[in-house]
Amino acid sequence: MQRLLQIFVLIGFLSGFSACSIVDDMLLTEEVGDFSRSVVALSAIITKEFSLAEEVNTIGFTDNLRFQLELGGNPDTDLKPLFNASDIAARQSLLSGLNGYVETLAAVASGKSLSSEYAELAGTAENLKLVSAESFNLTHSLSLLESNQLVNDLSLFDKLFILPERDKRLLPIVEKGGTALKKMAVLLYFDMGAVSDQSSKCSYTYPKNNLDADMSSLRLCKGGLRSIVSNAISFDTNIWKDKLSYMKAQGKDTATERNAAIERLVSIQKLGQSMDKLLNETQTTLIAMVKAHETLEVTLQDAGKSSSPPVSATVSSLLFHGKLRGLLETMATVQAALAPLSGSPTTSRDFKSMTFPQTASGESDDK
Amino acid sequence: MTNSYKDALAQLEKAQSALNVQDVSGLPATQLVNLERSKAAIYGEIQALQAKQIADRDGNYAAVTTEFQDCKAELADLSNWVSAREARDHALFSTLAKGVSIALSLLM
Repeated sequence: MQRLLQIFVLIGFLSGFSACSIVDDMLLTEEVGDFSRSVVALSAIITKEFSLAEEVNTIGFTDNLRFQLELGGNPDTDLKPLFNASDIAARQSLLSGLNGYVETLAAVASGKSLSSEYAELAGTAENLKLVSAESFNLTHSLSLLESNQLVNDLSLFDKLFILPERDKRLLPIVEKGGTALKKMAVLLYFDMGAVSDQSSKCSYTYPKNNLDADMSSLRLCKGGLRSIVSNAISFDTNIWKDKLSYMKAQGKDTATERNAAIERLVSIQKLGQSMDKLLNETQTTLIAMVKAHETLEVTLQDAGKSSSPPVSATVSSLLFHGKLRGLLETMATVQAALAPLSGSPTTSRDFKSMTFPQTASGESDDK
Repeated sequence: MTNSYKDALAQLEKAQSALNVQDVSGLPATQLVNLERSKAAIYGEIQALQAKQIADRDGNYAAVTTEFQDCKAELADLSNWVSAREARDHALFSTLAKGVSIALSLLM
């Protein structure tokens, strides 16, 4: 309801100033700046999600190790991470490319020179060229050919980074960048995956997905980060179930030990629910990001014809920022739930303190 | 029996589910250790198959983690123990027997 009110307030605000091109330029610069900051925040969340998955994996490993030792076993003591360095580097290259692109947009929109950032952007472009499908396992829902198609053209961004200054105009950059941005979003959407099959075709082949269509129509099979996290949570949950049964059968459990084990069993499951919510919300935020970019493109195309941004652009932009705010809140919940389980101090402030785009009413959303 | 990577993942998940639903209160500590180690190995194998891209998903499966390759002894020990108890406690350990049997079949 509050969001709807914000939309109407902004529409009214924009209509009131529609005759003034200076205000429109300022609004456009703000719009692009907000979009850029939101994408950078989304990238940071996605990076963090992979390290959260590793933390859950470590919790399971530690609990299994302890339990085996308590039983008198001789367990394997080498922790195996879920992802190796090159898997993480590939995702990092992808997200750096995305950040470089939206930061380019923000700089061009505000009339700033990109020369100081050129070296970093050139490095990002080089890294993007090295990204290969082998670093992603999308085969749960896509054929190898489709996976390769998604990964192959990601270096499209590099052409935008090396444009001569005189060609750095927003509309052509946004028009060309849209294809690569959507490819990255689709790739990350599949990389997040699903905890269960979303298509009846999953058991014998791949779901029929049109990768150029609206992302909301994509159907995934079980796999990806959501499935990996779900399996890690289930692994740890079952250690505690077994431990409780064993303690009870041995008659060794005191009320304190039993309560501690029960509390732990419930906490890890609650963490699993929050983490899956986080990953699912990340997918819907990626969809909102693509829509916001598409409407930004329309806004720029219409800029010469009309002096105010279309209502659809404003709504898409607000929806994207709204999704992102929800995502940041869920991330804070996950970090708070994880801290006591992993024995690390609460780090939820990391994401709570992120800069949010301003709301239509001008208030900061930073809570 | 030869499995593809895709089939193997489904089989591993089936084995994991069966082992997870087993009530462990009737297991002695030595067998519970075998079970927990096997569960950890199966878990690691599933995660590896989910995280890494397998170039040919329909190709012949071979265990990708050393932990899973090495847990054959624990699985065999569990299998022998369950077989010895089967006449008496078949119903109690039927899911354990099923899970162990599926996991062992992948290591043959």
